[in-house]
Amino acid sequence: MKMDLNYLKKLIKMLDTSELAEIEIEEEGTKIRLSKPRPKMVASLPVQAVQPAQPVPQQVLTEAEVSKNLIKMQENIETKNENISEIRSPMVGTYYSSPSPDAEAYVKTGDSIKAGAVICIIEAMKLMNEIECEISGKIVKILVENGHAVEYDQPLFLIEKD
Amino acid sequence: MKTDSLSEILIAYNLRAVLYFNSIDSTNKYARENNLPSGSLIIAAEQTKGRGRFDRNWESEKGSNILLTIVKSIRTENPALINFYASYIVYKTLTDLFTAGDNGFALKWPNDILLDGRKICGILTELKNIKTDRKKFYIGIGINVNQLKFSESIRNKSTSLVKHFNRKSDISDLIARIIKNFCENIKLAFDYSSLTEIWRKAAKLEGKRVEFRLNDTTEAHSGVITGIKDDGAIEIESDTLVGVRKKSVYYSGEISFI
Repeated sequence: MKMDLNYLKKLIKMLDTSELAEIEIEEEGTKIRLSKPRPKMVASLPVQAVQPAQPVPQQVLTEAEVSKNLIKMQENIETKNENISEIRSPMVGTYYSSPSPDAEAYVKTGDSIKAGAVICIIEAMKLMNEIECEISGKIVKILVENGHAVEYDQPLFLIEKD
Repeated sequence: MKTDSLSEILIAYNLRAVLYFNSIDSTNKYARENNLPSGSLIIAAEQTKGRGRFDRNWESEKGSNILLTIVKSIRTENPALINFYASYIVYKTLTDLFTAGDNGFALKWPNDILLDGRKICGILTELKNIKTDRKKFYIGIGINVNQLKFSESIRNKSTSLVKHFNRKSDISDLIARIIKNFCENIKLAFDYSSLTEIWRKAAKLEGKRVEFRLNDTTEAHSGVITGIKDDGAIEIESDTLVGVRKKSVYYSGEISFI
């Protein structure tokens, strides 16, 4: 397990967006325990994520090894929040919220979108990928800031399915 | 050496169509909005909204340069490498045709071509749906050919073939050569390890000192290029932290030689 910042951030995000009160992982002698106050909200809605304490690092780190624990936990979260889906980045690159710096963002929190709509651009090596939303629903949360680096499979949006 | 005309190449490589525009907003935009099929080639004498990355304007004097979009569907798992293929094809076409000496043409990561250290070719590719196996790319290529004067803002950064070689080139002939090379070498676009190896050898970037920035809103930092990865990413050993040597791998951003 790689105890880097990215890994920890993933854990924090996961805890935030889940109904779990606590996550504890032990591997190779290192133990992490994260906890949060019990959410007061309706169970099917995700708790508003706490802003990460650190800015997202500018450089792309070598892809952190996702442990089996992590995958298992993700599965748990996804099944618990049946109405909430994550839109993940299909590639490593830079996230752009709008088609050009002056243009309006493709989507903002609270927007209802139809499947097939473009929701952002991920740029890598001057290949501009228009990312389409695969489901119809409402944008509950945008997890990445414009112009920041994203990793493969990093969650970009939380969407509440119609 | 005479090359085949563009219409001969169109038939020889079974392309769909060549569309010529006197003036258009952007060849990429036109191809995308009209969902043109693979094998289409869009050429313009002028683009009113030509653009580069970060929405930077791509400036080009009417009728003087190459402005084109190739629409090509390719089954690939590493879509970003299409730009390495396109830049290598243009680089090869230019270096086969013109001898510019040691300080002549150079590939700049990720896919610019420089002449005398100044930009002569820019490439920007758009992809609509990354999740399909067969991906349709709109490969936009701009090459400065016969333009002598550039606006003040890019005068020190841009050049053209005519500025270096002191003679005008036949634009149609140059396009035909590029398309011929593009079609003839297409297998290389699928062969990642060969492609990155060829690109690496042509670019000779390792050991070069550069300034790197992720985009227009971030600060630049300096370092030394330590390699180009097989997936096209650049590795830079940054020298911003005193006493700490840190290698970082980037998939996006811009380098400038210092």
